[in-house]
Amino acid sequence: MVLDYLVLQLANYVIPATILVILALGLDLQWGKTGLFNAGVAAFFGVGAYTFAMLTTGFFPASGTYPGHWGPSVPFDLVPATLVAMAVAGALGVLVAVPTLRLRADYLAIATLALAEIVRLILKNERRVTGGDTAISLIPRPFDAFVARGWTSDGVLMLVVAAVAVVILVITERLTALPWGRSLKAVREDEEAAQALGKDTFRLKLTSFGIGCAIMGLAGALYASFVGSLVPDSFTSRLTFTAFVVVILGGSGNPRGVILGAYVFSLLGWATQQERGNVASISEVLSLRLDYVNNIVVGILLVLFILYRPEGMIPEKRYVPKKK
Amino acid sequence: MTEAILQVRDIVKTFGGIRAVDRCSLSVQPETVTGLIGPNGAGKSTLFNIVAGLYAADEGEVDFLGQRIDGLPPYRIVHRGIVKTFQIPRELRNMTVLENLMIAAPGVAGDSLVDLVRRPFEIVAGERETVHRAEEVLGIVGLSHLRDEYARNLSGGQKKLLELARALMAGPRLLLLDEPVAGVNPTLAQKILEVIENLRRDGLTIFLIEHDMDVVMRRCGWIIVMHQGRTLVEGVPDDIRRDASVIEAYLGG
Repeated sequence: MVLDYLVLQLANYVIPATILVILALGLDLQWGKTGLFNAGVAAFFGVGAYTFAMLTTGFFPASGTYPGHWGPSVPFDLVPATLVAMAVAGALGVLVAVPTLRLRADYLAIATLALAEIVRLILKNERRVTGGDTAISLIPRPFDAFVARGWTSDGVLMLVVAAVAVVILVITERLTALPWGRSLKAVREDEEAAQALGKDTFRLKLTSFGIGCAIMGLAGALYASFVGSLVPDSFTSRLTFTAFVVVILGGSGNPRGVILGAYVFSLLGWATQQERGNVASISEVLSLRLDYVNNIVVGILLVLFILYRPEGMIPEKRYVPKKK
Repeated sequence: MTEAILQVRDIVKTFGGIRAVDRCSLSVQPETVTGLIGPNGAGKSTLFNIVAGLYAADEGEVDFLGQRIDGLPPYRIVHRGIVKTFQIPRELRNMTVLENLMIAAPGVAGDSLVDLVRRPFEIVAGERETVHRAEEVLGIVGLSHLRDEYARNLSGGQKKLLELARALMAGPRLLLLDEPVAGVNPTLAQKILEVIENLRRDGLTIFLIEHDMDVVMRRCGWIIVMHQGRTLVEGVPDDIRRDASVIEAYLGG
């Protein structure tokens, strides 16, 4: 019983924090490594989450107060559903990127910012497709069979999410260690110079952006599984802001920094929840506004970092190969 | 005369109401150091940018080794063998000097993700080879001691050298140098000019823009003078020195 309680408490911190790690690794590939400003992180995360939810729960007819939602008549298994969620988020990224990446850098930011809002409004208003504000629920978790034998569901999900994060970490580290990763950095530093040195910068940006969006879709799928039910308002620009805060505080261009950033950021939020009761005994008013206090603290931290330590907690690693 | 390596025909480029390049034609012979001179605003840098594919010309055509290259994207022109340096160095600031060179290495395995499938076993060896070549080029320009320094920390002159080294790394046939020694101290300028002369001896063609007449007259085998967007006159240094229209263009233009 005590163990179950501890796992539950730990999981409530570790799972969302680790999902945030995965999301931020996707953004770090785009922003930290390639210099692409994706202002629509929430859209790709949300599309991944919804795709996963609709595929794994299957078709739901409208009934009573529930508007129903689309889905396959036979629900997908979790792994194929996750892969499809990644593919859809990645494809959406490419679709937005193709017309905008040829233009000046700011256009990508504008287009993705608009996309995030469009996606949220579609999720909200296409009620018979997405369930609208009534939420898609009963989204399954991995290894439900084991959980029935007495394991806590959160504990299992924690391990699965951690394993996925490790895999994504290894893949992104390996990919960016290739000459390909070096070319991404060149695009980030000076795109015209990179072109003048023989780089097809459009293609580099497109692949980096697409892969980044697919990783965000994966984070969304895990999130859907964790929370079990989705409403469109979970995917506001606040989420995009969070991902940027994590990358900038942690250290853009360094996955270790991004991981640290995600856990520190989540710790602030988690501590806020944990301390709500204690704060309430001192001041009822303050306890109700604790989330705002958290926002203010994060905002101040962000400003301080940008002013005094723009490279983040763990800066990008310098590339030093062995001498001949 | 042998066949020209670079041929520019009737190039026109306008910016707003200004005709920066106005029906300019010129050619560059292989294995020469050819100088492009002219007063400010004559269209020299614009012409270089057109040849390198960074600007699209409004009219005219550019031939390199007998094939049309105008309209190709810049990276394809680099792959054909034309590499341009920037007048103001465009070092990749948050990358090391070595990385700045490695970026320019052509046809490296792993530069595209497709290579993970197509030639996965060449990546590690290729990377070692790239490091090795980059170190050699750093040796040529004398930047070996700054190999692992961030490019942003280099001095102005060192950035000029880095710019040249990076262009060499790309393995060009024709090197377009936009003011390679401007703002560089005399000792370093001497060094850069020696490197250029050695490259020519090794078979490269160098086409350079320079304002220092002393450098141009002593280092270039052939000089082309541009004025108001077109070629005014061309010839060997001695002829150019005596040409009245050149003096007019510089002093009166």
